[in-house]
Amino acid sequence: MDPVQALTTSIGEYSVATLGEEHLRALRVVMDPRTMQAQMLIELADNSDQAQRDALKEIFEVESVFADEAVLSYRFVEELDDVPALLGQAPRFSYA
Amino acid sequence: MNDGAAIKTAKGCLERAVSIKTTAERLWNAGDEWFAVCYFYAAYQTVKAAFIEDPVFDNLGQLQSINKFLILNDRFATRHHGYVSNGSRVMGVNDIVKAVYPQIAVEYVRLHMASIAVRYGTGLGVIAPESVVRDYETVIGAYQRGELRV
Repeated sequence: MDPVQALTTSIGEYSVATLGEEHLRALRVVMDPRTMQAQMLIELADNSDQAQRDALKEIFEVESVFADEAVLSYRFVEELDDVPALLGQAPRFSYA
Repeated sequence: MNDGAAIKTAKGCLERAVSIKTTAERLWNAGDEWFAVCYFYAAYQTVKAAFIEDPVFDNLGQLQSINKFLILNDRFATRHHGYVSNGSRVMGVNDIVKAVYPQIAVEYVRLHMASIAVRYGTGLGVIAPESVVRDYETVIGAYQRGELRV
C-alpha cells in the first residue's frame, strides 16, 4: 500500500476507535499528500454541544499521536453524504 | 497569513481584540452569522497577547517539557495550523493553545471551526450560534482571570 494511503487509513481507523463507533454515524479522512494535511469530516450520532466537545477532546488525542506525520483539520457535519469528496485521487479513509 | 502585519505587543493584540469583539456584537445584534468569525479573531488576538505575556516562552526547557515541538519563537506564531517537516512539526496557534493552555483548547478550536464554517463553508451548520458566544466567553474569561499563564 502507498505509505500516505497507509497513514491515512491509520488516522481514520484510530479516529474511529478513539471516538467510538457508538458515537459516530460516519467519518471521512482525505489527505493532501503534498502538504500532509488531512481533512477529517465527522458525522456524530449526537450533534449536541457537549457531544462535539467530548469528540474534540478525543480528536486532540488522535492529533497528538500523528503530530509529526500529518496535520489534521476537522469539521462536524450533519450529513457526510451531502459533502462532496474533494481531491479526487487523494489518499482517503471512509467509515460509515 | 502575512507575518509582517502581525501585532507584536500584548497591548496591541488586546486593543485589536476589543475592536473585533465590538464588531462581533454588532453582527450578532444584526443576526449576521459573520459574528462567529469576529468572535474567533477576538479570541485569537487574546491568546496571542497571552503568548507574549507568558514567561513560559522565555524558557525552552520548560516549553519542551510541555511539548517537544514548542520553540521560543512560538510566542509570535501567526498561522492557525502547524505543518510537518522532516519528522518534526512546526506549531500553529491552535497547536500551541492545545499544548500550553489545554483548559481552553476545546473552546478555542471550536471557535476556529465556527469561523471556517462561516468563511469557507455553508455557515455554522451543526455549531449552535449561542455556543460560539459561550466559547468566546470561556477563552476571554480565562485570560481575564490570569489563567492563561503556565
